[in-house]
Amino acid sequence: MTSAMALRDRPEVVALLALLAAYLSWLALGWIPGGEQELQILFLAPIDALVIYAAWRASRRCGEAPRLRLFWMSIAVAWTAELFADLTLAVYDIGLNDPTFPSLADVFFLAFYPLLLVALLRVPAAPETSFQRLRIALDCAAVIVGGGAAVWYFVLGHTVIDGGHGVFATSVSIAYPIGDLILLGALALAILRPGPAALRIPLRLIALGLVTLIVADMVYGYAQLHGEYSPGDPVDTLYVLMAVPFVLAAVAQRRLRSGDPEGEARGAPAVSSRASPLPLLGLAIGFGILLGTQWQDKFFPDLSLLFFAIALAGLTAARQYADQRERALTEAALRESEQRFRAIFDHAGVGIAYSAFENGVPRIVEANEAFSRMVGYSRQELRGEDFSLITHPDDLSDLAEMGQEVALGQDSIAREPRCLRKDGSTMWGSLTVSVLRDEAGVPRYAIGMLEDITRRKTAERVKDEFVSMVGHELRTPLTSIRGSLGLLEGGMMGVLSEEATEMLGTAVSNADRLVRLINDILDVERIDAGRADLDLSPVPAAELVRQSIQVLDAVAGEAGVTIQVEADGGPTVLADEDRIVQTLTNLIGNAIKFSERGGTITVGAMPGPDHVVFTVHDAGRGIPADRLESVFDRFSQVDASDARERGGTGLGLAIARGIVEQHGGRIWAESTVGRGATFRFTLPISTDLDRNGGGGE
Amino acid sequence: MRRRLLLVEDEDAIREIAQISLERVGGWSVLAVASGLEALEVVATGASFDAVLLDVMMPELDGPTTMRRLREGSLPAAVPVVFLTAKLQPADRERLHELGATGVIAKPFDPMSLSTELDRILES
Repeated sequence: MTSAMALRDRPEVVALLALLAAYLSWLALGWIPGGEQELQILFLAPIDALVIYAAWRASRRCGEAPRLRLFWMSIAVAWTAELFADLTLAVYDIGLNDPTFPSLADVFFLAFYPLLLVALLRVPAAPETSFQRLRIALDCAAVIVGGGAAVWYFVLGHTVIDGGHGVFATSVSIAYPIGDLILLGALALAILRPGPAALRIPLRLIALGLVTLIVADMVYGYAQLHGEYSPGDPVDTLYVLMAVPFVLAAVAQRRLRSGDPEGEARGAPAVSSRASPLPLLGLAIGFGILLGTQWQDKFFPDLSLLFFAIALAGLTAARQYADQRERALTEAALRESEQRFRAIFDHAGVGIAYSAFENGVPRIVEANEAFSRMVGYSRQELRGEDFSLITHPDDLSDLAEMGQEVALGQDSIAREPRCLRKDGSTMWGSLTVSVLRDEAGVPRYAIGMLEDITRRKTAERVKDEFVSMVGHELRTPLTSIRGSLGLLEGGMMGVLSEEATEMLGTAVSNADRLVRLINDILDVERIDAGRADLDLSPVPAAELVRQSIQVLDAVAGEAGVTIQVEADGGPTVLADEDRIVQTLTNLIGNAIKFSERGGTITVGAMPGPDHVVFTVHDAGRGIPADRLESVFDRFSQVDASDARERGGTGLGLAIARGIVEQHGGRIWAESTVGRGATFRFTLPISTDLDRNGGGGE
Repeated sequence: MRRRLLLVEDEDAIREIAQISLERVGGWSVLAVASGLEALEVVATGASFDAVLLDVMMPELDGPTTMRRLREGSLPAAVPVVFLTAKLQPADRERLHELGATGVIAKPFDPMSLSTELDRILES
């Protein structure tokens, strides 16, 4: 609000300053003996109007937060009653020169209270826990009782005990302080409940205005009762000044956009970390007044104030008890939760190490029993160490990579490094690290979970070796069989009869099929186990198509099939060249097998938004709709006789699917029976990032 | 002058087939031995070859070791060494290339096109 810009934004501030300047200079003049002091009342109406204007503008700024908008509208309505009251009073005092009490003005003055109460009760609040609600109720009660003690002491007590002012006048004069107390309670409620952050400052300014009003009402009520009030009494100054915080509160209401979190009521923390000073303040006021009565007992000889003191003491005790009870319950819940997690931590079969970051390196704060057992260091020895102590020197790069990922903002990282035990032996570990960060995103703690996967790794290695061995052991005798048959068929062992040559041809082609079957089975096994590492690099899609066709050119020629290429040379894909050529040759090979002599196969590669679609189309017999999915399963051929007639292994499409999916692509078949089949698969388009950063898995 | 090839293969049948194939189809002059040690002895006698065809999996001295020992001995670095292997995984092939193999031929091979394949490797 200090800049010129902000002032232009808030004309009510300028108006307020001008009005206050005029009022204060008038006051200075008015106190000159003989001044027209009762004309002070003339300042009330403009400042009331200013509050209405400011509140109306505040409601406009909350246009997108309906509940706050209604709050400010209600404030404006309440102050309209105040404006009417002051105008009526001016007519009585100056126009009729008849300072009657009570008068029509009091009707408007009293209307101000319920209207303001409505406004305060409109302040939205988030749901509270039962303890919060109890705490707020006790605090509000303390505020009301404390304020009540003051009101009783100065006004109410006298009215009730002294009597002699007429029932009607007494009731009206009592109504003001009681209205004040109710407003005070409602305001305490609005402030104490978890309300919208945007109302924090406005509500506190309104509190200041209300306290001024209460003081003014007490002084006014006391003066009226004792017949000491006359228009222009200094108490009128308080009535003028009480409007100022209301104007400022409305000015402080900032503009709220739709969905602005400050316009929503937010839950307050469930546990009060410190005791509220309010009950103690109430208690102090109560006892202060009690002492005051002893000191000036002629002013208030009654002991009724003792009641207020006792009530305040009771409320304070209840509040302290509620706080203590809440803390005890919360602590018990925390302790129980702590015990539960402690039990998980202590007895988990997984090694858990809780670390704190020091200069970017997580150092172990505490490791559990399983962790200590796995790595062979005692829990004591692990304290303060970082993970390099237990990582195999050859796998320290894994730790460095994990550190980089943490720096890049990853919160959960997994690696499978070898671990080095205290006794020097090695263990395969599966390490998962979860990072906890502070509000600025700086890593503070890490929870490392370690599993011993040596047995799994050993089993994998044994299986790999076994599979590799099986491949070798099967291929060795096949080499002899295929070699002998080949030499015989080739006529190297002398010329054979036509029949014998034909027979040998069958033997050769079946030996070849057996070789392909072995190769495919081993491929499928490796792809399924996820151990066929991809060697990714950016390759032009057209180049992949060209290579694949080159492999099968001779086969197609033999089958009398023409291959037509529809590849746009442009897009480059991120792929393992050998693997994708293998996939394409599988698909093209199939297309050749299922094409009629003289048929045409179309092979294409077309760019999409973020991928390239490869297409292999044949005009063969097609695939029934219910088999379009299952053709990609292992040993699934549309016709059981296909394997024999067409020389396939039944694994080609399963391998193709494995390879494409490993690349992050998708493969599918489309077909109309009798009109051919189209196989399509997608590969991600290579970006500049791949080219610059390299594309390893 | 027929080109001279040293063939090292422990399996009798395969050795015989490869020898016949290379001699009759490819026109090589083949000296076939059954183990790495024999190969070392042959080379140690000062015999010279235009190429070596080595089986990978052999008892005692395996293919890669035999190649290393041959190179350490009197086999000139210029003589190409081609491996015959039944292990076809890309990683295995890569390892052989890293060890200094000129090329790799997969088992089973077609005896009628073995020499063509060998020539292709030697020419590249």
